[in-house]
Amino acid sequence: MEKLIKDFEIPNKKIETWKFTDLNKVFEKNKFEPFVKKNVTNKNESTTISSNIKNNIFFNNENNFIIFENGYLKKINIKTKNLEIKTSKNNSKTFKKNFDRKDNLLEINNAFMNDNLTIKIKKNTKIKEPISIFYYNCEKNKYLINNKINIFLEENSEAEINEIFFSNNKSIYWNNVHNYISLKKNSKLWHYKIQLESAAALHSSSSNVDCENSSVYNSFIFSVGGNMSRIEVTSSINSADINFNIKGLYLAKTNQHHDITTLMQHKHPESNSNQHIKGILQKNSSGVFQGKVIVSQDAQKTDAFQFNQNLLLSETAEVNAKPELEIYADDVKCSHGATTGELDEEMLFYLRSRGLKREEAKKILVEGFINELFDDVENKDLKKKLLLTSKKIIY
Amino acid sequence: MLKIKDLHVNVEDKKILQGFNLEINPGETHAIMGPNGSGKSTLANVLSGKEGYEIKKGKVTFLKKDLLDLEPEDRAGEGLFLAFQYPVEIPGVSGMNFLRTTINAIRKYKKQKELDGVNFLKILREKAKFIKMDENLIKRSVNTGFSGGEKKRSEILQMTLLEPKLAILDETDSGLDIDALKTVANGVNNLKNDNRSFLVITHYQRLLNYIVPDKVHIMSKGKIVKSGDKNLAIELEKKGYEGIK
Repeated sequence: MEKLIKDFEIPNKKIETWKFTDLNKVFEKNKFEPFVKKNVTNKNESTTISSNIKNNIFFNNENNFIIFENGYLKKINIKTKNLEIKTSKNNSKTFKKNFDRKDNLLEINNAFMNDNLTIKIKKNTKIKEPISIFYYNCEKNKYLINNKINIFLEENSEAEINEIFFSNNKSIYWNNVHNYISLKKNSKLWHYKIQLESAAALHSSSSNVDCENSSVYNSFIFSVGGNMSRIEVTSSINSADINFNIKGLYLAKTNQHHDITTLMQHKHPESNSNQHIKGILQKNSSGVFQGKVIVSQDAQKTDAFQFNQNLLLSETAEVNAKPELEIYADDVKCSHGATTGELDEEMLFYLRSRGLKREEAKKILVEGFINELFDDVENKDLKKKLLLTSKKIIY
Repeated sequence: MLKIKDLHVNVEDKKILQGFNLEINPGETHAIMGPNGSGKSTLANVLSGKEGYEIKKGKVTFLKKDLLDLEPEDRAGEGLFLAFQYPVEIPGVSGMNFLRTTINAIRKYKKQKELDGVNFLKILREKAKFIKMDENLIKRSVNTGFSGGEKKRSEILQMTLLEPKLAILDETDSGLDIDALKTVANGVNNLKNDNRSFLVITHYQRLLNYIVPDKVHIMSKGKIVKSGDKNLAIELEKKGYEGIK
């Protein structure tokens, strides 16, 4: 029998991992229905790229790109060789082994899958041109979209994959997109997740990353859109010399709720994880950072660092930070911390005493607060665009 | 230039300045000396517009304007500069960007044309060289991780770039070795002219060997108790505050 969305429990406050983010509340308000494309057989369907996509600052016609429109694969434009891209009808297997969940998001994703995609970077290949995946939404009715992306980096391969979530800014939808990422020996992935969903949208996504020997995962989460958003990164660190790095920024406007939740699973000795997540909360917005680091008994010589900093720009903004360490090994270096505060009055006064108006001084300090996160971003063009996007949102 | 008349200032109900009077004419350099807690830094902070001070009584006129009525940024625009005793560190904000923003903010206030990148760099390089400030330091985040001496040098660099009409140096000499002290004094002396005034706040006479004041004031319990010329500072060094009544 065909499943209905009402057969599933939507993540809500009763579930421990969703204590601060009540997805169900937004869901109940909107009653999103899984989206199914009509006229699938219509061969004349246009493959022209909507001007909304072309106008997105992260879009570049010359680069490698893949477009999903309302959950369905619309265009694949990959010029680079040595990678394989495929989509299959029966790619509904979950990646449960290392990535156990306490909720139904993956079951929902599987049951109502629109399209899925598998990207495989072949052994010994370094792909210099970034691959950008655009998830564009423009339907009228309140709808639910489900995509799944599998990314495989074979031994000694390198790639940069950027995911950009956005819309025509009128649509009301729930985007539920999950990644499974497998990094083999000596591989290196740069992974940017740029969440620019429409103001009324619900966004839930996760990256579930299996890492092998000497692999490097560098990610940057940039979360600014949506009414409510939850972005998760879960690692399974399965061998030695792995570098797992997450930089994250949520910028919340009026009424927005942003959640970044991470889980680092150190299962093997001698690997590193490094997380630095910052949040800026304006008006009556709210932010959540939940970060858990588990170092299992065998994972000696683990080096795990986690830091969350929040800047509240209004008295009605709110943050819940929950950093957790669970360490079962005795020879490890782990640290975590969280800070939440307003702009520093001493700094503001210093800048004003040098002739800057209060608003200008604030702007400089806010920029200073986020600048540090971008220090290691290798893709300079993207870095510029991300900084520009943040500035537009704050002022 | 600056006229302070019967100024009374409280901090959380505690009387700090109690009837402070001072007049500085264009081109003059004044030094204020006094023991800890006499109200020297409060004076500097009140003049620059820092919050947290309650003005109970008195008037401050700066270039014929009511100074206490102006926002801190407008005081800077009018030509007031405070070299902080403890300059704050501002992580993430590059010194280069900060200096250019501040110099242009002041130029804008004075309705002067803003400096473009090329001209700004030219001026910055020249002044930084004079202050002996390493350019790499300027590229870093403002004051972040600077040593005490580097922070003071950075204040003097800002002063030379902003070319104020009145510069207040709040214990700029504290924590400086003799070479740094000379460089700082050089920076000040080089800026001296008939229209520019300085108010040097210090504990020690040492700085005044290099920045020679026209007038020296001794401050105690929130007001000036004795004024004189540069010799007063020398006398003070010999006898101590107790010895001068």
